[in-house]
Amino acid sequence: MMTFFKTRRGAVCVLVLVVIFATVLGVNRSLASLSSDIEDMFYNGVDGETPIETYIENRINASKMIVLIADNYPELKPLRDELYDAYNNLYEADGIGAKYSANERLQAAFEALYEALIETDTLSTRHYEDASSYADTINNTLDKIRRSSYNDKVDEYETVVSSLPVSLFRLVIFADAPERFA
Amino acid sequence: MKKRIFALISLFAVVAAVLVFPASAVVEQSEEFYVNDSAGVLSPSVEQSIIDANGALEQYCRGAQIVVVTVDYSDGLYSDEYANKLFYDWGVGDATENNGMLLLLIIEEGKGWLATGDGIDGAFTDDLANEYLDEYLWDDFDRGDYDAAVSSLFPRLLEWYQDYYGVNLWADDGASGGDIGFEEPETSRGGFLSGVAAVFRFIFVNLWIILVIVIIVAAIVASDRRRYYSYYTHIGMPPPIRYRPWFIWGRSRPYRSWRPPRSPRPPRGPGGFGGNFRNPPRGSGGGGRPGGGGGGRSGRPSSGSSSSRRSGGGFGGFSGGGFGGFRGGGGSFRGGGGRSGGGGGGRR
Repeated sequence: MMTFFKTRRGAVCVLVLVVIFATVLGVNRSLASLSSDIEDMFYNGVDGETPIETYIENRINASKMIVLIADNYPELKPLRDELYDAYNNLYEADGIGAKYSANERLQAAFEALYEALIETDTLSTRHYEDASSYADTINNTLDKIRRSSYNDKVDEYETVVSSLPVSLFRLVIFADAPERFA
Repeated sequence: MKKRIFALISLFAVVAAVLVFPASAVVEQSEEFYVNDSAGVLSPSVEQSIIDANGALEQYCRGAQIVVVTVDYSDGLYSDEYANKLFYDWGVGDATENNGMLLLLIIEEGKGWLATGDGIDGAFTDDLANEYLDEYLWDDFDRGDYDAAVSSLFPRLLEWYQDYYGVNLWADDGASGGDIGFEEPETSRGGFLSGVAAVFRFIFVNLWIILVIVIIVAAIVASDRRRYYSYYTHIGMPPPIRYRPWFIWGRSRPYRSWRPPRSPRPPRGPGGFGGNFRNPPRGSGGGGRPGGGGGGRSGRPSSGSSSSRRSGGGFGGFSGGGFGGFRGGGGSFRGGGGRSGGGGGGRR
């Protein structure tokens, strides 16, 4: 065995193996770095845009205030509790995919509670105005999240991975792809 | 037997009542409004300072208020929930500007929250709130020195409002309307020393870059020096003058780098070299280096004096805010939909 490695053929084999290994490693490192940069955009923004994470924080904060308003109306307790659980769930969600699911749950819970709140007969003027303001925040941030370029960046990553020459290494790519917020 | 049964039923009823119908969780508003020391951890002087400071704050910062509340327990609420509830129920800050802040300290649970108004949470972000708390509150709070914790944080919050509204709450000309209760923080106006400190900080932080540049220049000079002396060694004569680095010498060099003698040219064939054969360009620095080599030559004639290049930025550390040292954004950053009234920072 050792004699083989001392021959030219052996050296060529070793060289080829090293080149292949280095290439695979290099590709994975590059993809891992690219994936990390893309996921970083979720928290720091894409090309100067406000990051999705900031919008999520704003949604959580506005939801807290709507829950606080709803506390004054005991008949809304079940819907209030659902929104309360939803925003805490979003607050604690770990990972972009989990945040997406939690965000969808929060939106559904908010819409249900808000609809019930504004139809409450005993709703005060102050509560109505404040709830509307917080509802605007929640709806506006959702709109901005949907228009964010983050998912486009994830799609670009997928395009890179799918196209030559990277696609040749698809079977040996172990770098994690960035998660979509969808 | 009946008495025991009755006692057990009563006990069960009481326990059920406690579990099902919790007592009112939040503290009531105090007469002074600006401070409610339910936990009894603040001294009268600090409480009075808070009240006095709010007077100036309301007058000069469009009705802004900073309310401080201390409680022993949160009764099962998260600190942000508790703080937001107090904030909302008490109506902290101006109704239009919504520019109040409420600092809640939950003493026995070791946590707290700084809630901010809907109108200023774009400028006083959650991250900024956490920065302030980390830097000015938590150390003293964890040591149990609540007076020091509040006395450290409160003036910084006043300073933030001062910057935000472009007023001077500590004006000596009486514009502040009287004793504000807290001393103006030392770094609020910067000054010459803070500017010098900024320069030293910049130099220290960038020391490694300077070091790398020095090493590179030293290597280039050493190489050039070796070449200079080797030339005269090869031609067998002592150098006429002592070596000096090229960026002092300038373009005119008293020597050329030594080269081995050229071999004779081969005879030209028909079209062999395609025409005129140009002489290779001679760099004034020798060795074919355009402009005297080493990279980075500015091409300016040597003035004989120190030719250190000065860029417009100089040290790069003197920005418009170089002497300011203000904390807080002071800017008018507002997110697109970021009017959050439930924000703030702290230990949840």
